[in-house]
Amino acid sequence: MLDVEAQEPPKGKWSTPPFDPRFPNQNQTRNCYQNFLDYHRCLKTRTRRGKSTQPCEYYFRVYHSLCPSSWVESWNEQIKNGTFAGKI
Amino acid sequence: LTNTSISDAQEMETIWTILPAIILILIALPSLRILYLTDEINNPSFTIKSIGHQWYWTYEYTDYGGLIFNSYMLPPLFLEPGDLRLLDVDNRVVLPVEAPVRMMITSQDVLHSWTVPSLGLKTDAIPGRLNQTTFTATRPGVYYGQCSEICGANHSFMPIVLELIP
Repeated sequence: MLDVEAQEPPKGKWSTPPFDPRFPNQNQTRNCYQNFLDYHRCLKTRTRRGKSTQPCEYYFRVYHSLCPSSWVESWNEQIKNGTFAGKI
Repeated sequence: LTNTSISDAQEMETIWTILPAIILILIALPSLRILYLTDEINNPSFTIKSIGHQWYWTYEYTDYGGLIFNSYMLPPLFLEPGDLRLLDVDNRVVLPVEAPVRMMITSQDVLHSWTVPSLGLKTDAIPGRLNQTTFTATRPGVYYGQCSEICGANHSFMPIVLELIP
Protein backbone atom coordinates (compact mmCIF):
# COMPACT_ATOMS: atom_id res chain seq x y z
CA MET A 1 0.00 0.00 0.00
CA LEU A 2 1.20 3.52 -0.59
CA ASP A 3 2.44 5.00 2.62
CA VAL A 4 1.67 8.66 2.19
CA GLU A 5 2.44 9.37 5.83
CA ALA A 6 6.16 8.61 5.53
CA GLN A 7 6.99 11.70 3.54
CA GLU A 8 9.94 13.06 5.50
CA PRO A 9 12.98 13.75 3.32
CA PRO A 10 15.56 10.97 3.61
CA LYS A 11 18.87 11.90 5.16
CA GLY A 12 21.99 12.06 3.07
CA LYS A 13 23.82 14.37 0.68
CA TRP A 14 21.46 16.22 -1.60
CA SER A 15 21.86 19.54 -3.30
CA THR A 16 18.88 20.55 -5.38
CA PRO A 17 17.02 19.10 -8.36
CA PRO A 18 19.20 19.30 -11.47
CA PHE A 19 18.11 20.78 -14.75
CA ASP A 20 15.53 18.51 -16.39
CA PRO A 21 15.59 18.84 -20.19
CA ARG A 22 12.00 17.58 -20.35
CA PHE A 23 10.98 20.87 -18.76
CA PRO A 24 13.38 23.48 -20.08
CA ASN A 25 11.19 26.57 -19.78
CA GLN A 26 9.78 28.82 -17.14
CA ASN A 27 6.69 26.78 -16.44
CA GLN A 28 7.79 24.06 -14.04
CA THR A 29 4.31 22.94 -12.97
CA ARG A 30 4.57 19.70 -14.85
CA ASN A 31 8.08 19.05 -13.51
CA CYS A 32 6.76 19.11 -9.95
CA TYR A 33 3.67 17.06 -10.77
CA GLN A 34 5.50 14.48 -12.86
CA ASN A 35 8.02 13.78 -10.14
CA PHE A 36 5.24 13.45 -7.62
CA LEU A 37 3.53 10.90 -9.85
CA ASP A 38 6.78 9.11 -10.58
CA TYR A 39 7.53 8.80 -6.88
CA HIS A 40 4.22 7.19 -6.12
CA ARG A 41 4.33 4.95 -9.16
CA CYS A 42 7.84 3.85 -8.23
CA LEU A 43 6.73 3.20 -4.68
CA LYS A 44 3.71 1.19 -5.82
CA THR A 45 5.61 -0.87 -8.36
CA ARG A 46 8.58 -1.70 -6.16
CA THR A 47 6.41 -2.45 -3.15
CA ARG A 48 4.30 -4.80 -5.24
CA ARG A 49 7.43 -6.60 -6.37
CA GLY A 50 8.83 -6.79 -2.86
CA LYS A 51 11.86 -4.67 -3.71
CA SER A 52 13.52 -1.86 -1.82
CA THR A 53 11.96 1.55 -2.41
CA GLN A 54 15.26 3.35 -1.97
CA PRO A 55 15.59 4.21 -5.71
CA CYS A 56 12.32 6.10 -5.44
CA GLU A 57 13.99 8.54 -3.08
CA TYR A 58 15.25 10.64 -6.02
CA TYR A 59 11.72 11.45 -7.18
CA PHE A 60 10.73 12.26 -3.64
CA ARG A 61 13.64 14.67 -3.25
CA VAL A 62 12.84 16.40 -6.51
CA TYR A 63 9.17 16.97 -5.88
CA HIS A 64 9.88 17.87 -2.26
CA SER A 65 12.22 20.60 -3.48
CA LEU A 66 10.07 21.87 -6.30
CA CYS A 67 6.47 21.53 -5.24
CA PRO A 68 4.81 23.95 -2.83
CA SER A 69 4.00 22.14 0.38
CA SER A 70 0.34 23.09 0.11
CA TRP A 71 0.09 21.29 -3.23
CA VAL A 72 1.75 18.20 -1.80
CA GLU A 73 -0.51 18.18 1.25
CA SER A 74 -3.56 18.54 -0.95
CA TRP A 75 -2.48 15.71 -3.26
CA ASN A 76 -1.62 13.45 -0.33
CA GLU A 77 -5.03 14.11 1.15
CA GLN A 78 -6.63 13.21 -2.16
CA ILE A 79 -4.61 10.01 -2.38
CA LYS A 80 -5.70 9.10 1.12
CA ASN A 81 -9.33 9.77 0.23
CA GLY A 82 -9.08 7.99 -3.09
CA THR A 83 -9.91 11.13 -5.05
CA PHE A 84 -6.53 11.85 -6.59
CA ALA A 85 -6.99 12.49 -10.30
CA GLY A 86 -3.54 11.35 -11.40
CA LYS A 87 -2.79 7.85 -12.59
CA ILE A 88 -0.61 6.05 -10.06
CA LEU B 1 -2.50 68.30 -56.28
CA THR B 2 -5.58 66.99 -57.99
CA ASN B 3 -7.93 64.30 -56.86
CA THR B 4 -6.71 61.78 -59.44
CA SER B 5 -3.12 61.97 -58.22
CA ILE B 6 -3.85 61.59 -54.56
CA SER B 7 -6.41 58.79 -54.63
CA ASP B 8 -6.67 55.23 -55.91
CA ALA B 9 -3.03 54.22 -55.40
CA GLN B 10 -3.66 50.53 -54.84
CA GLU B 11 -0.12 49.36 -55.63
CA MET B 12 1.48 51.84 -53.25
CA GLU B 13 -0.95 50.99 -50.49
CA THR B 14 -0.22 47.29 -50.90
CA ILE B 15 3.54 47.82 -50.82
CA TRP B 16 3.54 50.00 -47.77
CA THR B 17 1.38 47.56 -45.88
CA ILE B 18 3.19 44.33 -46.78
CA LEU B 19 6.75 45.65 -46.51
CA PRO B 20 6.50 46.94 -42.92
CA ALA B 21 4.79 43.70 -41.93
CA ILE B 22 7.73 41.73 -43.33
CA ILE B 23 10.20 44.02 -41.58
CA LEU B 24 8.41 43.53 -38.26
CA ILE B 25 8.45 39.77 -38.66
CA LEU B 26 12.18 39.89 -39.42
CA ILE B 27 12.70 41.82 -36.18
CA ALA B 28 10.38 39.68 -34.06
CA LEU B 29 11.70 36.23 -34.91
CA PRO B 30 15.31 36.75 -33.73
CA SER B 31 13.98 38.68 -30.76
CA LEU B 32 11.85 35.73 -29.72
CA ARG B 33 14.84 33.41 -30.15
CA ILE B 34 16.96 35.65 -27.94
CA LEU B 35 14.19 35.74 -25.33
CA TYR B 36 14.40 31.98 -24.95
CA LEU B 37 18.20 31.95 -25.13
CA THR B 38 18.40 34.32 -22.16
CA ASP B 39 16.61 31.69 -20.06
CA GLU B 40 19.89 29.93 -19.48
CA ILE B 41 20.57 26.61 -17.81
CA ASN B 42 22.54 27.53 -14.75
CA ASN B 43 22.66 24.42 -12.49
CA PRO B 44 21.35 26.01 -9.32
CA SER B 45 22.89 25.42 -5.92
CA PHE B 46 19.53 25.43 -4.22
CA THR B 47 15.83 26.00 -4.73
CA ILE B 48 13.51 28.31 -2.83
CA LYS B 49 9.78 28.47 -3.25
CA SER B 50 7.90 31.73 -3.01
CA ILE B 51 4.15 31.57 -2.60
CA GLY B 52 2.05 34.70 -2.88
CA HIS B 53 -0.93 35.26 -0.64
CA GLN B 54 -3.22 38.15 0.05
CA TRP B 55 -1.17 39.98 1.30
CA TYR B 56 2.15 38.42 2.21
CA TRP B 57 4.72 36.01 0.84
CA THR B 58 5.56 32.54 2.11
CA TYR B 59 9.05 31.20 1.51
CA GLU B 60 9.94 27.54 1.61
CA TYR B 61 13.47 26.24 1.85
CA THR B 62 12.83 22.52 1.41
CA ASP B 63 16.03 21.23 -0.16
CA TYR B 64 17.44 20.20 3.19
CA GLY B 65 14.51 20.18 5.55
CA GLY B 66 11.31 22.03 6.14
CA LEU B 67 12.06 25.70 6.70
CA ILE B 68 8.87 27.55 5.87
CA PHE B 69 8.06 31.08 6.98
CA ASN B 70 5.84 34.02 6.14
CA SER B 71 7.10 37.45 5.24
CA TYR B 72 4.84 40.35 6.19
CA MET B 73 5.47 44.01 5.66
CA LEU B 74 6.48 45.79 8.85
CA PRO B 75 3.58 48.04 9.87
CA PRO B 76 4.61 51.68 10.33
CA LEU B 77 4.21 51.44 14.10
CA PHE B 78 6.76 48.62 14.24
CA LEU B 79 9.48 50.33 12.23
CA GLU B 80 12.85 50.91 13.86
CA PRO B 81 14.88 54.02 13.01
CA GLY B 82 16.55 53.35 9.69
CA ASP B 83 13.88 50.93 8.45
CA LEU B 84 12.22 51.69 5.17
CA ARG B 85 8.50 52.36 5.25
CA LEU B 86 6.44 50.04 3.03
CA LEU B 87 9.55 48.06 2.13
CA ASP B 88 10.94 46.33 5.19
CA VAL B 89 9.54 42.98 6.28
CA ASP B 90 9.63 40.89 9.42
CA ASN B 91 11.38 37.89 7.84
CA ARG B 92 13.77 38.41 4.97
CA VAL B 93 14.81 35.88 2.36
CA VAL B 94 18.41 35.15 3.27
CA LEU B 95 20.63 33.90 0.49
CA PRO B 96 24.35 33.46 -0.12
CA VAL B 97 26.11 35.51 -2.80
CA GLU B 98 27.77 33.91 -5.81
CA ALA B 99 25.40 30.92 -5.61
CA PRO B 100 22.97 30.23 -8.46
CA VAL B 101 19.52 30.24 -6.95
CA ARG B 102 16.35 28.80 -8.43
CA MET B 103 13.16 30.54 -7.30
CA MET B 104 9.89 28.71 -7.82
CA ILE B 105 7.04 31.18 -7.68
CA THR B 106 3.35 30.55 -7.38
CA SER B 107 0.29 31.90 -5.68
CA GLN B 108 -2.22 30.51 -3.28
CA ASP B 109 -5.06 32.81 -4.24
CA VAL B 110 -4.93 35.58 -6.86
CA LEU B 111 -2.28 36.85 -9.24
CA HIS B 112 0.79 38.41 -7.67
CA SER B 113 4.22 39.15 -9.04
CA TRP B 114 7.53 38.59 -7.30
CA THR B 115 9.89 41.39 -8.18
CA VAL B 116 13.38 42.50 -7.23
CA PRO B 117 14.27 45.24 -9.70
CA SER B 118 17.90 45.62 -8.64
CA LEU B 119 18.52 41.99 -9.57
CA GLY B 120 16.51 42.22 -12.77
CA LEU B 121 13.83 39.85 -11.49
CA LYS B 122 10.14 39.89 -12.13
CA THR B 123 8.09 36.74 -12.26
CA ASP B 124 4.34 36.42 -12.04
CA ALA B 125 2.85 34.34 -9.26
CA ILE B 126 -0.05 32.50 -10.83
CA PRO B 127 -2.33 30.14 -8.90
CA GLY B 128 -1.99 26.59 -10.17
CA ARG B 129 1.24 27.30 -12.03
CA LEU B 130 4.84 27.09 -10.91
CA ASN B 131 7.09 29.64 -12.53
CA GLN B 132 10.82 29.36 -12.33
CA THR B 133 13.36 32.13 -12.31
CA THR B 134 17.07 31.79 -11.67
CA PHE B 135 19.65 34.29 -10.62
CA THR B 136 23.11 34.64 -9.16
CA ALA B 137 23.72 37.67 -7.00
CA THR B 138 27.28 38.90 -6.97
CA ARG B 139 27.12 41.62 -4.32
CA PRO B 140 26.09 41.22 -0.68
CA GLY B 141 23.44 43.53 0.63
CA VAL B 142 19.73 43.99 1.07
CA TYR B 143 17.56 44.07 -2.03
CA TYR B 144 13.99 45.31 -2.04
CA GLY B 145 11.06 44.69 -4.31
CA GLN B 146 7.31 45.06 -4.29
CA CYS B 147 4.42 42.97 -5.52
CA SER B 148 3.90 43.85 -9.16
CA GLU B 149 0.50 42.49 -10.01
CA ILE B 150 -2.65 44.07 -8.61
CA CYS B 151 -3.97 41.69 -6.02
CA GLY B 152 -6.44 43.52 -3.86
CA ALA B 153 -6.57 46.13 -1.14
CA ASN B 154 -3.06 45.61 0.23
CA HIS B 155 -1.28 45.01 -3.04
CA SER B 156 1.11 47.86 -2.23
CA PHE B 157 1.88 46.42 1.19
CA MET B 158 3.47 43.05 0.51
CA PRO B 159 7.10 43.78 -0.28
CA ILE B 160 9.94 41.39 -0.95
CA VAL B 161 13.29 41.67 0.77
CA LEU B 162 16.35 39.62 -0.08
CA GLU B 163 19.34 39.64 2.22
CA LEU B 164 22.42 38.46 0.38
CA ILE B 165 25.22 37.42 2.69
CA PRO B 166 28.81 36.59 1.74
